[in-house]
Amino acid sequence: MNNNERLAEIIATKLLEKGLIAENNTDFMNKLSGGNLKDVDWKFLLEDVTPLSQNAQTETNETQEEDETE
Amino acid sequence: MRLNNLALEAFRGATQPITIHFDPLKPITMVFGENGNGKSTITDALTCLLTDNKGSIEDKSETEPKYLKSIGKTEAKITLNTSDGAFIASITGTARTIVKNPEVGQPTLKFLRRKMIVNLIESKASDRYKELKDFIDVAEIFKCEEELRKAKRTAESDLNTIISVIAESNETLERAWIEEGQPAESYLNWAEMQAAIDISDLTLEVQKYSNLKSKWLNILSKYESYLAVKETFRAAQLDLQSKDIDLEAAKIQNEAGDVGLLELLEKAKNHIEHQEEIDVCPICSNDMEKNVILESLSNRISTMSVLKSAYDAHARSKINFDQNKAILDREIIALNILLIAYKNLINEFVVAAPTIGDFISNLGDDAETNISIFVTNKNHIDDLNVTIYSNEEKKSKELSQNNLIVSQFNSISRNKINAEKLQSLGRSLSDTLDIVETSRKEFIETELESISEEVDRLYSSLHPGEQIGNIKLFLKPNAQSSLVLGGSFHTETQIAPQSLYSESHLDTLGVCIFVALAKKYGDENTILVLDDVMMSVDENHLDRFIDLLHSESVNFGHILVTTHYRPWRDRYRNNRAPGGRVHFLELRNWTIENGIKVYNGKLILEELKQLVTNQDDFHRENIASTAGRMLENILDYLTLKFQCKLARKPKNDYTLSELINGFPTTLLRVLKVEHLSKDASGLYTDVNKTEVLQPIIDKLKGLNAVRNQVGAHFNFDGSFVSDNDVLEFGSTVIELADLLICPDSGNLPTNGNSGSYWRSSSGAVRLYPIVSP
Repeated sequence: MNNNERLAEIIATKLLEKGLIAENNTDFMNKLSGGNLKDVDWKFLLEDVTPLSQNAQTETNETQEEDETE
Repeated sequence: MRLNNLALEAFRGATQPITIHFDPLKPITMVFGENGNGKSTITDALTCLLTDNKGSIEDKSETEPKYLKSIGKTEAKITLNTSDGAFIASITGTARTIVKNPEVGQPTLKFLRRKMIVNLIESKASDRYKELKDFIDVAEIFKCEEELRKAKRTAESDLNTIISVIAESNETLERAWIEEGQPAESYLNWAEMQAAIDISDLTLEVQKYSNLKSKWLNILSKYESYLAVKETFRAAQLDLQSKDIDLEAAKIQNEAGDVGLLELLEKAKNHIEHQEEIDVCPICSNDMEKNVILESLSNRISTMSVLKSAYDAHARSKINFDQNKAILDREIIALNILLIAYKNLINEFVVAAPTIGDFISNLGDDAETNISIFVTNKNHIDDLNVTIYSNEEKKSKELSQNNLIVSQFNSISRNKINAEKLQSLGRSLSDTLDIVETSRKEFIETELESISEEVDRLYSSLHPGEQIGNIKLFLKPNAQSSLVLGGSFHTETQIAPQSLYSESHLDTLGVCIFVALAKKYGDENTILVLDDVMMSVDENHLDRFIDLLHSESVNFGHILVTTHYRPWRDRYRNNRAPGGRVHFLELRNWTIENGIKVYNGKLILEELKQLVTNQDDFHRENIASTAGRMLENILDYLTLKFQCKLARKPKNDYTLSELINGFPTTLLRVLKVEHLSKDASGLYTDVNKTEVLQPIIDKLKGLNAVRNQVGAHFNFDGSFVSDNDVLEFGSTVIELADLLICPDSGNLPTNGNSGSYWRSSSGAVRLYPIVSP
């Protein structure tokens, strides 16, 4: 495993933790380690993604709104 | 994997085919050659074959890769034969691409040229990383990171554009709302209401008024056309009347003539002219002569020319009249059709505009009459059209306004959704970029940290006790790829080594960094090439560097060293370095005609043994001279090791006699060597020979004059020295050398770590004592 592949694996793990990529991400890792992700690919990959941090923030806001209503 | 040989054909300085054979039992090959003898050709060949780089030619600006081929050659070929098979590269044409066979799977090559050390040390931090990026290769990830950065930038730019469009739409709506007198709570409410209105009736109305306007304009246009045609027709009519009068007058002037006869005569003349042979009249069947009858016909026709001219003019006028009549008829019909259709369209307006009643009710079947009615009522219809035009304008404006409001309102709604999507995408891109960038930096930092430890270890072994070291490599904070070097110097810590280290210390630092990188990112099959990296270091540092190279050689498949630094070569040649583990090659006498010439370098002891044993070509002077140099070398080593007291001399240029008499008696009594053999685990532990050195040294004391008399000077006394004495001097020096020089590593014992003896690199030879008593 070369450095690009090792780093791709690290990045994929972190992106998965943040909900930015799906679980089955072999294709993503291959493209990333091979230098084959163009700007349009990144946009396509992330256009329908809502990071877990955003979800959590949204839920917090909703809870706060509910509390305030009560 | 072991290297067998490297064959070059027409590659750079190899103008003639050459094969360099490697010794598979020796992990290091040293190629010594003065500048311009082909060292870089050999290292460039390996670089071109085993990497994507083109070697030293890339270090210089404005170089052309086609000169990878020898001058005048069309194809260069590099072949590396190894225990794992052959690897071949062909270079043709402009040499932009190098064709390799196999295309992939070449052995890994890590190479270091002096230029790289200079760049690493002297470059700015941002450029310094470039020198290492071939080792810590995350270039593919970095490429994707740059694309990700671009994606983030364009997403932000797209979002800004959409926000501007929304703002413009809001402004447009607000302006229109104010112009309309602010009819609802807000312009957005108003726009929403406008968007909900059913505009199908309004659209139909606009279409109706537009159609009426268009039809009326068609009628006016057609009427203009009709008038023009009618004018032309009238002119044709007048012309025909005039031609009638002219024809009647011509007939009166030519009483005998008649138009019918004229036509008949012309036809007869035409017929006879076109007959090749004719001698009978086609009408009366009487005999006739062609020429006579044609002359008669021409005369009669000529007399009727005025009538003929009038007749022709009348005929043309009649045709023109007929044509214009037909055009006029068509115009009348077309205009009439438009009028009838228009009458039906404006029928609904008769109540509102009763003046058009005559036009509507009187229009009948006769087209010309209808045109007259139109002309009569045109003013009334014009009045009606003022109203129609006004309505059309008003309704169109109403429709446009509604369309504008709806389109702007829809644009705002649509773009708000797009903006939300882009904001979300922007956040995801930003989060992802943070992760990718941070991970890359952390990865490189970790790699650099691990390399730093190794660099510091290697550097400390080169510079023990010099109060320099603690070498650290790290990325510059807040920069994408800027490499910073850190170290200590006496009391100063965490300094840039460039600030305080000497040039030679920086050189060795550069070498340590590259060796550490090659070690980390290579494997046991990696070929390490050091191309002329060592310039000028002192004796102690050179010895330590050689030791370092030998101890690190176990981590690589093969190490190829090229140098033009003669002291390095001489350390091996004189057994001051482990020459037994180095395949020693020398390059000499390069010429464009003969190309690179490789010679197997000989150690001085091998040379002496050959001289002594070669009875066919016995050469007493060479034996005495070579033995003398060998003996001086050994004695220099021994007197230094035991710190013998010699008479102080400005340049330490001691004679053989001074050196051999420099041992104190107390030392000579205990000076001995042990030769050991390997045990079952491969370590030298069993002493199989012990030899005291005093007898040999004493013997050599008696023979050392041979060197001066035979091997150093021309003098009369030398002629009295027998061949046997010369041979005995040579053989005794060999005997001493064989006792002291390690048969395995090929160097003199220099390692004093045991505390009680000096040991050779392999451990096969021990020299006692450790210090002079």
